[in-house]
This record gives sequence, C-alpha cells and structure tokens, in this order.
Amino acid sequence: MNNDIIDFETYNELLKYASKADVLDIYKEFEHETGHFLSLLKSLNLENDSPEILSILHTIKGNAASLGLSAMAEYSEQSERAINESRMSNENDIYTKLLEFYSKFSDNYERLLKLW
Amino acid sequence: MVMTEVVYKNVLVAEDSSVIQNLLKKILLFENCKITSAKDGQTALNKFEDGEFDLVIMDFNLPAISGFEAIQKIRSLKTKKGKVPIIGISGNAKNLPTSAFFEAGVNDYMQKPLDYDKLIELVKKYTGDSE
Repeated sequence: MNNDIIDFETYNELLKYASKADVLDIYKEFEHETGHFLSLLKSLNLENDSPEILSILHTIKGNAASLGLSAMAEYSEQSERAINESRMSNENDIYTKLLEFYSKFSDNYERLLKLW
Repeated sequence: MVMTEVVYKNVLVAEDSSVIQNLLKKILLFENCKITSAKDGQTALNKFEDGEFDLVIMDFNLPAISGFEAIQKIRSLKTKKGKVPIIGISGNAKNLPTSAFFEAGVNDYMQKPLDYDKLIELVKKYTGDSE
C-alpha cells in the first residue's frame, strides 16, 4: 500500500525486532514528543533562539527518519541547513510546514498501521 | 523439559531523544539486552560509574556533556571498565570525517537513521553473541 506519510519498508524493518503493539507505541511516542516540540517551536524566534530551534529540528529529523517519515525528516534537514547557512529568515514558515506534516501524520498513522 | 535461563546483556544507551531511546529499548530487548537509559552525557557517565555494562551505545550529540566528551572520559579510565565496547551513533556523521569518531574512542559508529539489522549485528559482535 502506497502513502506519502510513513515508509512501509521502515515499518517492516521495525517489525522484524518488535511486535506490532510495540511499534505502535513508538509511533505514539513520536506523536507526543513532536507535538511538544512544535509547541516549543511556536514560542521561539530565529533572532534570539536559533540554537534551540536547531536542536529541535535536529531531533525531529532523526526521529522522523528512524520511523520512516521521510518527507518530515527531509524538510527538517533542509531547514536546519538553511538556518546554518543564514538562508532562513522566518521561523513561522518552519513551524507552519512542520505542523502540516505533523497533522497529516497524526490524523492517519493509526489507520495506516492497522491496514499493514 | 529443560529450561534455559536467559542471560541478559547490560547495555547503556545514551540518547537524548526518548523516541530513539524507546525504539532501541524494544529492538535490543529482542536480543536479550537489558537497557539502562540516559538522556545526557553527564547522566550517562554517572550511570556508567554505578553499573556494569557489556556495551555502551552513545549518541555524539548530547546535552550537558557531549557524547564525544563522555566517551573520552570512559576511555581515560585505567580500569577494565574503560575498555567497554562503545558504538557511537550520530545524526551528523556525514558532516564529520570517519576518523573523528574513532579518535574519540568508539569501536564502531553508525549514522542515523539506524540500520537495525546492522545494529543487531554490532550488538552481537560486541557482546560476544555472534554466531
């Protein structure tokens, strides 16, 4: 089954070493932790808080990639690079785009994982 | 019926993301590893001092004390504990030369996202459980 939210191959890799219930728990934890990071991100600005923003992007990138959320991981990496190269001036753009990825994930992952 | 007692390997996982920490806990339990977790470098060092570990898995990018520094402190120990196998993990590995990780004192390192098959292979290798 194809979708642009979770990479099925990564999910299958996880199932080699953990039960479906355990893997679902990990996705739930990702949902919880990323929701917390997004709330933090909303309150930060690039002018004063770029180390915190970079740290959040770095963690979201690693977590998303580890769970097969490739689009979210790639966007976080691109934003991280853009900030480091001073090409990013509006933190709201990052927040809005990540929230979009997050909402799509949050609304669909349980249904998708049950189908597989 | 002969019951075989499971021998658990003690693994210290230093990783600031609770998602990755939990992921490693569940995957390594599959390989009979008992995980002790730490979310920053200083806590990792404290737990390392207090425990006996067969393996350490250390993220390089940790708060309080970086993974690099924590590894160097472990390697500076003159006791047997200082020789514990360490697998370094990093989300920025491609930005650093390979030599930087080995100079820090790791036995092996992996880039995130982790290749879980490779991780299990390394865990078996360093806990003496390879077939």
